[in-house]
Amino acid sequence: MSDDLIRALASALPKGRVLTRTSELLCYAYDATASEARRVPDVVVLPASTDEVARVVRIARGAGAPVYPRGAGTSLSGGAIPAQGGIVLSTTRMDAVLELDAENHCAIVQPGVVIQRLNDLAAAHGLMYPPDPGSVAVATMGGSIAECAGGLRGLKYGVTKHYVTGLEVVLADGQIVRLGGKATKNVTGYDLVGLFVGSEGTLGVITEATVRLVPAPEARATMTATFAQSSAATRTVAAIVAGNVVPATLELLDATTLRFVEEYAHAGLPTDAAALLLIEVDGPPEAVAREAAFVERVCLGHGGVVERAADDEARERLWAARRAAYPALARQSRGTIVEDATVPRSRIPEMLAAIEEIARRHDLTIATMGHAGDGNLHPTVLVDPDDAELMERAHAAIAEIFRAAIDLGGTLSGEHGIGSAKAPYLGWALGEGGLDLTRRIKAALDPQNILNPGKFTA
Amino acid sequence: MRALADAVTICNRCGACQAVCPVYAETRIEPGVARGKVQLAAAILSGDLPVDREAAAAFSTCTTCMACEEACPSGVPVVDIVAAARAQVVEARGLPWVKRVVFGGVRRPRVLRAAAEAAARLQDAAFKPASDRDLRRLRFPHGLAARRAYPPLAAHPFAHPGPLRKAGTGPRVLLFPGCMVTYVYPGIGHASVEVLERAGVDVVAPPEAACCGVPLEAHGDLAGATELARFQLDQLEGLEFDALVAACPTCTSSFVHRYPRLLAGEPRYAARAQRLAACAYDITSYLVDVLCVGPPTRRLEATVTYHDPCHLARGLGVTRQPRELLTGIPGVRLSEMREPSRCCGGAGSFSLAHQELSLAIGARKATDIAATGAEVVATSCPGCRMQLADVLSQTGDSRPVVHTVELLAAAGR
Repeated sequence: MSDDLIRALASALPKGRVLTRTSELLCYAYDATASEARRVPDVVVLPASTDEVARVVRIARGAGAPVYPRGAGTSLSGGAIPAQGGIVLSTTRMDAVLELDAENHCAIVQPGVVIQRLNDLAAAHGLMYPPDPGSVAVATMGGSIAECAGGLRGLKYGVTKHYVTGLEVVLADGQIVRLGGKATKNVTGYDLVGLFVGSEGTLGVITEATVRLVPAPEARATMTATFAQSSAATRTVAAIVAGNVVPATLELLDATTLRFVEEYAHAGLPTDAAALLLIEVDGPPEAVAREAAFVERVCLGHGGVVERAADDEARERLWAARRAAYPALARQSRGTIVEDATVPRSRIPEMLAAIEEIARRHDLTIATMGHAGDGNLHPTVLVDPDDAELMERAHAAIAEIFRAAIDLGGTLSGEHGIGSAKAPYLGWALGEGGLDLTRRIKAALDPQNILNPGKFTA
Repeated sequence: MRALADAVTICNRCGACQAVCPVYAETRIEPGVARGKVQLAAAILSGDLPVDREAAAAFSTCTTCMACEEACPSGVPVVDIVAAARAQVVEARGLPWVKRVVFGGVRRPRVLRAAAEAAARLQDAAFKPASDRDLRRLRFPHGLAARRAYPPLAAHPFAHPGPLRKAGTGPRVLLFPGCMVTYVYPGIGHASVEVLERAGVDVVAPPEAACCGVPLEAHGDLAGATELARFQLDQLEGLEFDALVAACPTCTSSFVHRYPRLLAGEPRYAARAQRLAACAYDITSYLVDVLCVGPPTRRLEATVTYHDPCHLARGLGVTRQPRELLTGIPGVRLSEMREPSRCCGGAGSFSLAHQELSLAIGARKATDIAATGAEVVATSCPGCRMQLADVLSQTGDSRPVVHTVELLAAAGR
């Protein structure tokens, strides 16, 4: 089957855009998910146009071969891994920004455009594209839309699904459909655009997207606050939001994370602190001044030690601790499993306590950082992929973390998606009814199950 | 191999290297980028990837610019992994015959000199002058080589009339010329001597202008590279000098980083390699950090842009010193290019083995240079200088490209 498939693909695409060597295929066997095993595809294709994508999907359909759409391969739940062999469809050659419409505050992009590049172009017009996952410098628009990526600005600006107003999608039968457009208000039938945002490549291949841009804030104020007790930090978060101030960034680093960050970056952080909050408010200068003063007062009122950035250089220094968090953890161990269980904001203290208790019981190091403002925490388990016993404990702990999140009224994933890594737990969050609906949608759009099979719709 | 196994497992596959890899920017395929190569090294170790010609090809598309190492959250030693994988291929398969012949010559300094001198005499038969500058193109081009424009080999290789011209009281510096300066750009060697002597230094030269060994190691010939490391230490044994200085950052990093590593297990050499590492400097760093030279006297009215060589900026952490030297020249205005430390795509023989890729990487650099409006391009590496001159000539850009010390020498005359 495989040879015929490769021949068909090679005749459908220009020379050099069908990869078949072992050394090439091995490089598409993974994404950024530490817990998921490598799976080698049979072939990798590099289409450069919607038409070429449609040709590939039609050939795949004829052969019954799986198609795995892939952007930059930075997904954190196994979404881009070719679970059952077949075709990896890389969108990196489709990387044109087709239009930047400053008048309508929107842009039309191909799926391979790197998010940061769109932001750089938007900045020239005083605009920005708010979703900013940690991988913003490499992740593609197509991948981040398919995964509905979030980021550090979620609390105030929302996530990817709040910015996608139009899509062009190649469906499982090879048909090309154009959904939505530039109009920001659009209730024309079902929300078909919304159906594909976060669909993780299981319903169609995104070949073009129209996204909203917003005016970049005129001013911002940044501060950190360290606390002797993590409960003081979480009460501070609650008090800031209760004061109707919505910071653009409201990040929390727990004691374990802080200790590793200080060891790694020597940023001068208090290593005896139980938690650090990084808070940034943005907007018009007058509002920023007022909100920053309020946030500072709340932090001080809860016993926080506050450092406020006087200029851009100081801002960079304060951000350095947050930016160093992942590298610091990555250097502590041979592997890190970054989870993103999410709870309603008011339940964060209970969630933090649950994570600590789970770590203790399984004798694991779990460092937690995350977007405290929107309840999206990143408990990060330090692992060694070669240590089977440790990995087993890690997986048991992760299952318990998911259970705890759901029991607190939360969910499995705030921004990394389900993919294969969290598929076993999907029923906990959706229930039988939700699972059944998911399968019916999948069966209606992809009856042959060729689009990203072996993931959460399996 | 154990060290290699540890090195590959610390890669978290986060993919951050995609943002900075010059090869990936052109190919946009995963085997081009560090994450892919590290996973391929893991596949060699696990037996999933046979060590064959295909593996060799996969590891050859890397300029060893170290940008990925700088961006890597996990601190993966990508360049070491690539070097180890290349060495593994050579160990398993041997060197291809062309490389065997060439490296056999490079390993013997006298053979190298004789070959270079013969080539310098014969090159007019093979090359014709390129129209726009002092570069040449192949007369009988095959394939893509037709597009490349090379500087001629020097009719008179750089040879410092040492070992010691004058017995002064200043610090004594061993100027390590390296192959590129000796055979292609002797002017960089003469300028180096000039600025050092002007600063009151006594310059000595090594007895033989032997290769530092990087080209061999880059192709996986670890045995040949180690042999050259020993040769260098042997020929410097007994010479007295306070510092070893080179105008080629790849040569300098051989003394600073590679020799201590290559010779770590050899009792006869390990301590000497460490001692040399402690006194080896890039020439711009030595002039600024050790000699604290003052500005030259003559004015040079020029806008200059500066390209940071990878092995100097990331390899040795030297970026401030050449800029201080340039802006210290009265009349020189520095106009920074976008991403000055982005790889120019030269990378030694990479520019020959992957000409199309090398030219594409270089084309971005040429665009960034043109955007500065500078009249002169300065860099601190003869290899970068050759690549920059070539890629500028591809667009008909006739801006001169010089080594930092050449401007400095000119401004002191």
